[in-house]
Amino acid sequence: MNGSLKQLLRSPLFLVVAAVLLWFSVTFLIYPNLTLLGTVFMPEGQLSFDAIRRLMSSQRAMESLRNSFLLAVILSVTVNAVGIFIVLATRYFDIKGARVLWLGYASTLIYGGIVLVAGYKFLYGDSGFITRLLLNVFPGMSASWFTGMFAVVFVMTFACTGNHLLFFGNALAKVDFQTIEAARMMGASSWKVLRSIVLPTLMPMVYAITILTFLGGLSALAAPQVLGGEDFQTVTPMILTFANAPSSRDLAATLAMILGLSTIVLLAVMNRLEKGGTYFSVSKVPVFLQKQKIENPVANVVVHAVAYALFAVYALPPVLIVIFSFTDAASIQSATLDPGSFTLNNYLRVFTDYSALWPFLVSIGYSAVATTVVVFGLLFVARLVQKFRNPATAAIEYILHIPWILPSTMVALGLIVTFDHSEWLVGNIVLTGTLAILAIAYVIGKIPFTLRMLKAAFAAVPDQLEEAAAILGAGSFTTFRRILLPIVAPTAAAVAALNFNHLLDDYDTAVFLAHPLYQPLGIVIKNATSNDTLTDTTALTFVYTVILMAITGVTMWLVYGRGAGSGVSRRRRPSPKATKALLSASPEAAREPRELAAAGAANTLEK
Amino acid sequence: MITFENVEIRFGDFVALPDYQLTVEEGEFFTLLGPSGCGKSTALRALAGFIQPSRGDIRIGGKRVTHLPSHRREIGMVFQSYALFPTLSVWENIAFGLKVAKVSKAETMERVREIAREVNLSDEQLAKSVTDLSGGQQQRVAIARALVLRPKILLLDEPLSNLDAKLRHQLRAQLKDLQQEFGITTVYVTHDQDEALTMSDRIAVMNNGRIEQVGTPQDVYTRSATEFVCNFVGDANKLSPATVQVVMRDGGSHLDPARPAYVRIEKVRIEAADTAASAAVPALAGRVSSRHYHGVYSSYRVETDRGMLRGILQEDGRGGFQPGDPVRLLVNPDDVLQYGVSRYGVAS
Repeated sequence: MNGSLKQLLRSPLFLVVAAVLLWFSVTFLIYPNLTLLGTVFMPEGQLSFDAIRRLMSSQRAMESLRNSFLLAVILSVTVNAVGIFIVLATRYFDIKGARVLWLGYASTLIYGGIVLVAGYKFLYGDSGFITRLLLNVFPGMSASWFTGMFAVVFVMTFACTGNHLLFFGNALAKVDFQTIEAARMMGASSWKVLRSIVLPTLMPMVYAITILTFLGGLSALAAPQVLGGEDFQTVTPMILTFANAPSSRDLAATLAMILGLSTIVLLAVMNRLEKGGTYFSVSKVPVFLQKQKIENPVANVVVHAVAYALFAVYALPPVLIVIFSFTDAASIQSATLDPGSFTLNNYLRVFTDYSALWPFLVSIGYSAVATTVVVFGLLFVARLVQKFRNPATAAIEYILHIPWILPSTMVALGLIVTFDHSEWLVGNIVLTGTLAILAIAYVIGKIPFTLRMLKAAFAAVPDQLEEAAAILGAGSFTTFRRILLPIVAPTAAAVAALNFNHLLDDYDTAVFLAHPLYQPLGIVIKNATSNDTLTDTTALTFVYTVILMAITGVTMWLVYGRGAGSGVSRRRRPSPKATKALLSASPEAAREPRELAAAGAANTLEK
Repeated sequence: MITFENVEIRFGDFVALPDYQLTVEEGEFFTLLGPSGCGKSTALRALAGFIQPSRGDIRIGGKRVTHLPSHRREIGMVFQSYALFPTLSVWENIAFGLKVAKVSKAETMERVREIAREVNLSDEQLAKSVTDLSGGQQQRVAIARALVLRPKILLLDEPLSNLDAKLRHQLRAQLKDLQQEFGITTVYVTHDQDEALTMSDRIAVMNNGRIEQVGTPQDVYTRSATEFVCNFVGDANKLSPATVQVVMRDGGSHLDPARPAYVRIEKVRIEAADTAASAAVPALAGRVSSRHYHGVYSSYRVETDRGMLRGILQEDGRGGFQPGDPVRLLVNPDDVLQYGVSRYGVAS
């Protein structure tokens, strides 16, 4: 059923989709990046390398670049070490309490970004809970111990292991247990099996996660900004600083371009690695992995001890935030828990005080709008690129992946410099500084993930269903509406939920583009971390964090939790009630019941 | 009547059907039989309107339908996977085409009920989701969905291949009964020779996009027109030239040892070596090298000094022959099928 360009041009529905898509791609994906290039290399309309020269001579900028690469390299090691360990501890080795451990480790799946950074700062910062405990034991130590590169690496290491839990864990579960049994039969020890059989099979996944981690380190914003201090500034906070002053926007653009270029190179490397080394089970009947006992008692104790120590590091921040969200500002400030200080006032305030609720409403509004637009729009686009495979749709697909290969900083900066003056492409209006620009950036940022998921969902629908519909007389729109959409709807809903979740506490894009009067949660939470004296605002951010964790937790459960992937693959079941009602009238029955039944049939068929 | 007139179907540079010519008579159960990749499904899909021929014409009832969309060809189709719409109930699946054709609700009800009765789907099953049905029930829904629009032609694309062996045997008979009851012209695609032989009025055996033979099941089996058909349909021994020479001595003068020769395994008579020899039928002496028990019969491999031959014997409970037993093989010259010189050269 693959269509040619000619067939595409014959379909009015897809012609409209193609036209809107073309406008959107040119206006928001291509043109802003070209403008950014122009800002750097052609500031006065002529080729110039002045921005690069100025950047090279800026000690702060060069240091931030160095720090970013250093952070990326260190994280590649630490995140893998911790990530692989926690997956092996919970999925591969027979460790007591593995399910509880997994829940602790998985806390970063519902608690990440600026929220996580703020949580760690609350715990380990100058007046943090852990810092106060440590000061009791070591009175001479500095209260500001948790700052600089160490703090950034520490926080980001634990923040970035989500990929391991999801992807490395999944890959590990697919290792054919018979290969382990075979190695065991040949006398291999647990360590030998792990080193020579299991880990080599997982290396492509490790490479992929390493590159994602490297990219995460390279473009980190929240952690270096909140915890880096003056001595450890990285590229993205520097871009933000430069972008705020019009005279240094060319430097911001140059740094963003370097970031973008590095991302492209690394993603190309990742693609190559993926192509070259995906290992599949060659077993015809793979057997599920069974947990391995650690035979060496000393090693067993060490692994258990490390696993529980890591559990404490992972679980303490969210647990304490939940607890302290029920205490007053004084308790939060003193990091002490007194039964008398427990209160519901923080929650009451968030839900009754309009100013406290406002950032939440802004975030929900932005997330809902961006999610709806991107999922609804891409339902048509994904179908278009999946059904009509020709050079034009292939080019469109590549263009739609631009946000995936460029850091959000660069996308945001591109939008700022492109739409800070009137542009005919958007009806001669200035977008920078408006409410719309952040929503547009959110939509752009979510395009690649949404497109990939929806395209995969459409591709998973057998061609024969369309052929069956065609032979039964259904046109392409009827087939799309009645057959394809109901099948891909669960995937679309799951993608929408994940997008919504992810945007709810966004900071990286919002900090560049948010309207001053419509500050989303991410910015409010970040601002709370920079207050030297803790105020009621901090208490509110704890409530925000708890609510965010609850929303994310529920979403993750709905999407991933109810049986493996059931949220994605669950199909809408027909309504047996309506059909049974319809069937209750026998053909021999009188006319009236028959017509009633016919009405029932109509309802059923309308569904 | 369906006709393919010099139809050519290409996929890029690959020609799937080079010059396809075929006629299917009205009301017959016609099977396209062949190995995977021979082009049988391509021919069916072209008839359904899913593939456009690059040359030639397809006619249904004399009307040219080559460029007509699928739904205007008055065709019903049962797909290999059944292609039931998973989000719709059984009822909704069957009624889908009627709804699209804007058939009145009352008539839709009546026709769905009627076809459901024909294919033995209960009211309870009609209310279910198609994903709750067994393979056999799903197949019946697919047939009902295809027939409810009262098409002139029914296309069946390997509809039994997803079922277990026992159910497959049961449904063969049901499919054939349904076809006869409706009197509908049916084109059936399969690679299973058993299915083709038991269900079809006529069979077209295909190979590499070409039709090797069209005929009744008996024709195709007993008078296989080409070496390919002989090999593909049924089970045959390829006779060595030395064996052919033995067969030639007693009434087989019409045979030519230089040409490929075959004999169906059930036509090879196996006798104990000490049985009184029949003068009329050429015989070869040999020893049983292996025996495979199949319940109703056993198949034997017999090593002779002219090469290895296979034969079968009905099981009579007396134990049959054992490996190593001396036996005599009888081959009637009239049962030998000979073809032009093989593309692989003369068999040794």
